[in-house]
Amino acid sequence: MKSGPFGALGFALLALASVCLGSKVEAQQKVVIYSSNDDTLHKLVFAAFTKETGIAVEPISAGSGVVMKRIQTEKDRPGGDIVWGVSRSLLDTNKQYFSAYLSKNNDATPAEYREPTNLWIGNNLHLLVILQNTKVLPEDQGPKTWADLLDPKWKGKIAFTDPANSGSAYSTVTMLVDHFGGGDAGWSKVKELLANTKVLNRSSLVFQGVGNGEYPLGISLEYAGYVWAAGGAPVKTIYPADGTIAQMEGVAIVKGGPNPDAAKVFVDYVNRKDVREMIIKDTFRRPARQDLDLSKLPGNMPALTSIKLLPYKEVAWTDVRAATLEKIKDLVQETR
Amino acid sequence: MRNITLQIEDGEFFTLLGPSGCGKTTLLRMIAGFTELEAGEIRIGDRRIDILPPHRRNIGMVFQNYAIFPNLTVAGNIAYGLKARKVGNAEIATRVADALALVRLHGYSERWPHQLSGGQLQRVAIARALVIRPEVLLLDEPLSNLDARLRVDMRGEIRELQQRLNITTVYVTHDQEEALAVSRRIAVMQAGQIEQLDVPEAIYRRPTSLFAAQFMGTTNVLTGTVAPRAGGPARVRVGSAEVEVADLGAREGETVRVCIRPEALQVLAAGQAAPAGMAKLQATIVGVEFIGALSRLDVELPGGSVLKVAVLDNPATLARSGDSIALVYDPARVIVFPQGAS
Repeated sequence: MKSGPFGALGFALLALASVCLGSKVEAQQKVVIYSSNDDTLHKLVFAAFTKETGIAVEPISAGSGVVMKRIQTEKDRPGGDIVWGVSRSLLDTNKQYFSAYLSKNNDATPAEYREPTNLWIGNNLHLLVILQNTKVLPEDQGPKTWADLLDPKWKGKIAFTDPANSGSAYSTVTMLVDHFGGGDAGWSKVKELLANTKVLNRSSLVFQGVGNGEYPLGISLEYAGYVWAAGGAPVKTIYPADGTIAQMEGVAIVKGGPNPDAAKVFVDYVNRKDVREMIIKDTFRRPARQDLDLSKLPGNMPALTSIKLLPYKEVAWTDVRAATLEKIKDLVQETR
Repeated sequence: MRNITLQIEDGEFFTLLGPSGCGKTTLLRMIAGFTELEAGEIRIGDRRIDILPPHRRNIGMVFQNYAIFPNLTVAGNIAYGLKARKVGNAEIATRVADALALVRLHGYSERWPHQLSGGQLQRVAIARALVIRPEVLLLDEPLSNLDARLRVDMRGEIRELQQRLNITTVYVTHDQEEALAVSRRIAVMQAGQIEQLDVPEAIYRRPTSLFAAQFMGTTNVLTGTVAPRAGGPARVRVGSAEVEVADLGAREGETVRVCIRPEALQVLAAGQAAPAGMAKLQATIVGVEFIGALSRLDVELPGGSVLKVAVLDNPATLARSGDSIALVYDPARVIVFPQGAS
């Protein structure tokens, strides 16, 4: 672990803004992907993709807000070919930056997970779930519904990500406001739930906290329960019996990007049946396409048809996001 | 992010400190290669790295979004970067064992993440960063999810490890106490710029901005007017009190902000004269909070301004709300800023 003569770190560096990355020379042998997915998924998919196709991947990894902002800023000279891992609402509100492509996996993907004019296509579905560590809380003593989480006996025992830092945590809160009756009645119940939570800075801390037993319960995304269980953690994934939502994440080709042909290859790849099986095996991301038999794949995840799904006003809640986050912040403060 | 120029020394523990949104994480991500520069360069020694992708910069990272993989063992997690760099298995085993020993997790290689506490998982993350033998180590708020006591213990461990390895380290935190405790130098940041860059003692004792004065520890800030010089020491009128300060030059009538830290104010015992060179203030105690080693007093000056005073516990004295007291302080410890300062 030496730090020799080159250890001194000198830099003169300046402002941040977007930078055009496209290269005309090896145009079709690489694809530039702006992604807000996490590292494990990137490492798995990009390596396999390059191995099969010979197309190198240049990833730019950042939160979905940052990714979309970059695409907007670069609209006259796009540096990216693909946007991956962003929510439906972000894809829809930025459609003008995408170019339509009828992917080979179109027919296998339900219409509700596709843009009608093929400007984007769904890739992963994230179900909002409750995680339970069955070593510190016996399986039969766990909650079965979101409503169960309001019980004061859970005070301090539910790990939850700060909605200011997590799109899915924001979706959880807003879904529950409507589910608990909407308006003041809904918010009042949500406040009771928040009072039982320990609010953490990022999702990985929630997964980790339930995984290692620091918290008996956590509010999370579906894949995390399976990933931790695969590593031997005594984690059970609870699909609330009173219903939950499936948040779609998708992929789109950036209009005017430097490597359009390679981009199409990627879109076809990332939703291909065998690739989705590979993704489930390693990372347990539920596919948007509905023709895989999950009961035959690692994790034995339940079929989507067996899960009670709630309606969710994604566009409406996205529109009022800033004000709603403020309200949630106040409620969290009041309940500490 | 605005124009920033920085030189970090070989083997230095250098901290970027500031509130949420100040740009410290953005700057760290630029060094790592996850965020682009608009212009400028980053070098390690003579070697330019800003043109290299992250995995070619020889930098070890403990970043918030690079969580431990729950479906790999501790050894698997630590070896991950080595496998990617095509290191042979025998060498991997040795280096993983060495890295575990460094973070005091010898023997934990076959454990699974769910069997480790939060603090242990953080140590695995550090081992994973160090095993690739980086020239530079970057840490982005590595302790923010640990409870207070563990944070104090672990910051000491990180500091001790860094000194032992003599590895150039850039550390990001919003916790000013943590920064003061571990850093050789700190860059205090706000709104994309560096406000002050210096060793901890200098920033704490001689802050160059009101922001730095208030961000580091606690300080009293009084607003007043510079009194006319009448041959005596420089004074600032605050309400109906006059606060003596170190020489201000000719600024009579100017409105200023006067900062003095709670521990710089000492309570004079009854009948005791002020020591030579110390300034004096009369005040009335309006609140007392006994917290063991310290008592925090709220005291009111003539005219209504309230100061926070911190006194070490002394059983011989008894401070009570309503008491009239005299405070003494060294005027050199008072920092004065112009009114519009931020």
